[in-house]
Amino acid sequence: MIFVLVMSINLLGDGVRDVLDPRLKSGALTRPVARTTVERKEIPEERKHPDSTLEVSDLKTEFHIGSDIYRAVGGIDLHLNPGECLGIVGESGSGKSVTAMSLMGLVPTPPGRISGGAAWLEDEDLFAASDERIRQLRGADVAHVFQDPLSTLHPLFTIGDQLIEALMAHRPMKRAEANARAAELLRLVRITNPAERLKSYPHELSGGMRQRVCIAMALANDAKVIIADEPTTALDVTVQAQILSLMDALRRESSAAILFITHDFGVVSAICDRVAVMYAGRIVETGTTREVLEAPAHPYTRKLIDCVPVLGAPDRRLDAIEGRPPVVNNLPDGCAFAARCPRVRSDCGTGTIPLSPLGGGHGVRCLYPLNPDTRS
Amino acid sequence: MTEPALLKIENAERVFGGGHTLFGRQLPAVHAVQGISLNVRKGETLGIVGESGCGKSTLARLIVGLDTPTGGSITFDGIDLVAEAKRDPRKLARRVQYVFQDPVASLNPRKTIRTILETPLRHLLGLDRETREERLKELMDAVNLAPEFLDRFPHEFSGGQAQRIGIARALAADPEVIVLDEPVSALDVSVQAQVLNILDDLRQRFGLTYVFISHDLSVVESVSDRVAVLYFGRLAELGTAQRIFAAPRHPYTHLLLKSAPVPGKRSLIPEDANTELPDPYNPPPGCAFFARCPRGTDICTNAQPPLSAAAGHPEHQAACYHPVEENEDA
Repeated sequence: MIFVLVMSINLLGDGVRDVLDPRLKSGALTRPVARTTVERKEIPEERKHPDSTLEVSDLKTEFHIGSDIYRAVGGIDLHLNPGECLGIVGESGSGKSVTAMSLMGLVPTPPGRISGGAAWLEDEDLFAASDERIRQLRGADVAHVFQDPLSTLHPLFTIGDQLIEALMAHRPMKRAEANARAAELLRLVRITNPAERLKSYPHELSGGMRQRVCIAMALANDAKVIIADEPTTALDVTVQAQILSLMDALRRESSAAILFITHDFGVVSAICDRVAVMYAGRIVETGTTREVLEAPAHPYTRKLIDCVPVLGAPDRRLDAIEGRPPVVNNLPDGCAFAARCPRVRSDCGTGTIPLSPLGGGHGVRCLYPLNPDTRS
Repeated sequence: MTEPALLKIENAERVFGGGHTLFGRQLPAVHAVQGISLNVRKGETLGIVGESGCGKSTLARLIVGLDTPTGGSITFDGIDLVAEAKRDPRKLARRVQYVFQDPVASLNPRKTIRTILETPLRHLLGLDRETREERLKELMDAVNLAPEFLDRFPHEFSGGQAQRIGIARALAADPEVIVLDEPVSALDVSVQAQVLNILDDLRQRFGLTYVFISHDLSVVESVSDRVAVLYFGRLAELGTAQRIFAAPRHPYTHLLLKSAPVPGKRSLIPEDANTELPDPYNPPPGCAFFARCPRGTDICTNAQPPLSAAAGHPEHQAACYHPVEENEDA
């Protein structure tokens, strides 16, 4: 009797706490479903780059919190050719991670939902695919490498168990066979003594070693696209150099395309062929790494490059960007960067500014781009 | 460079663990910091770099008295810090302050910015209400924040603003030395530049001395006058920032510089991934970098290399038997 009374008071207390908790309104405590809800208003019909491995067209991802709509991604176009590495650069909150997570439906619903656009993996529209099909594709054709390897790996299973699970989930094979393949994967990511290492737990490995295990897992099923979300940000520079050159070598060996998310222009120049700069949920500039870094056309890109100290140029006064990025539930009309832009003019604040081509795949979303002669 | 040393670290050592169990069994010990000797001169910025686990933060905690060294001495203007901190921690806090890495976590979420900034004013400087009010305005102005922010709570601020409040709190006590432990690592690049510029302005305005800890080589290069490179709890190289980055002598510094990604540089030269890092519980008798070093010989495995100065540059010291000389490609 006392037990029942105590439990019922507990239950009542929990209920009251949950009702009063402000986090509940945003849906943080409700269990997210296995895949992001897709509610597309407009669906693009045609592919512009039919040869690409992955093409994203006009992707829009929103978060509905209370009565506010946060437009985290407001119309992204990008494509990845086989064996190519595309870098996405931007400040935190610019929507780079949400773009990457939207592709495989990893954005938590509620509150997230995909409200427009299409993503084609070869000829298959990922947003139209069934849940079962997406489950098959995750980890097989499209693999993710996340920033923090320690929270990606399960602490209670050996890395061997986890690699074997990744293999056997997608292809029926005998355990011994999977074990041999797992050891081979570890050798591929340059881990010495792979057979022994398979028996170790994540906490027994160093940070760089763990990230290599995560990359091995992403390679387990010959993925066509690897989405790497800041894979080296948590690592030391020496380890970062190892991981970057490893990824660079692997994509050449297996011709997997890499979508590489980072905020570091140094990392971009080390590995990416092309780069897209994001600001407030949109791509503001895209082009080959060389063009964008040497002669940026968008004032934001210029500012972003100028505010990072560069090794070997210590006397450079850092040019900080004043102000803060706009909150994405209340985006201004016209250019989102207008409020912080040194070259702003009166018509920057009206209408939608298109991504205008500058030739050679270099595009910029600016009415008054920096002049090519004065850019460098 | 004729300024006398303000902060003198001599042979500082910090051992974690050790001791015995109840039955007399020896417990393992880790030498987090061993045999570090450094001088910090008035008005300069000393940068400390190294990989994670090399003892950067432990050294910083020793300097501000958050931790006590197990050996050696740290003196501030001739006064022993450890003895001082035991007797009167406030006296030390008035002269040396600390800025933490995580800006939001280092501010008490239940207190307003006013309370947070007033605490050092009241307890360390003992100011009365009116002078406090005036000083608060000055502080907020110094870090470029509007005075209206004083009555808000820490969660209402972005990372960059919170870090500026952290800096204002360190400034409040009117210290001579500020130890900055990775102050910009948690910030976005655009915000990082704002904070670095503010730090630079404050140093010139108030004649501060900084000990700047970071793992980001380019940030350290842009702020420091002198740089100390740590490896495995020991000093690997010490010299002016210009010399360290232009003509590094220790192979480890070379490796760090080679590994850092630079915009516009296409290829990275990684070291061989198979190298074993030294075991902190069982450190090698010789140079800890030996296993990763391309220049190592037998002498390196036998004894710790002492710090030796470069020819013509007595300030530039490296703990290596085979340092990389100028005009030589490592």
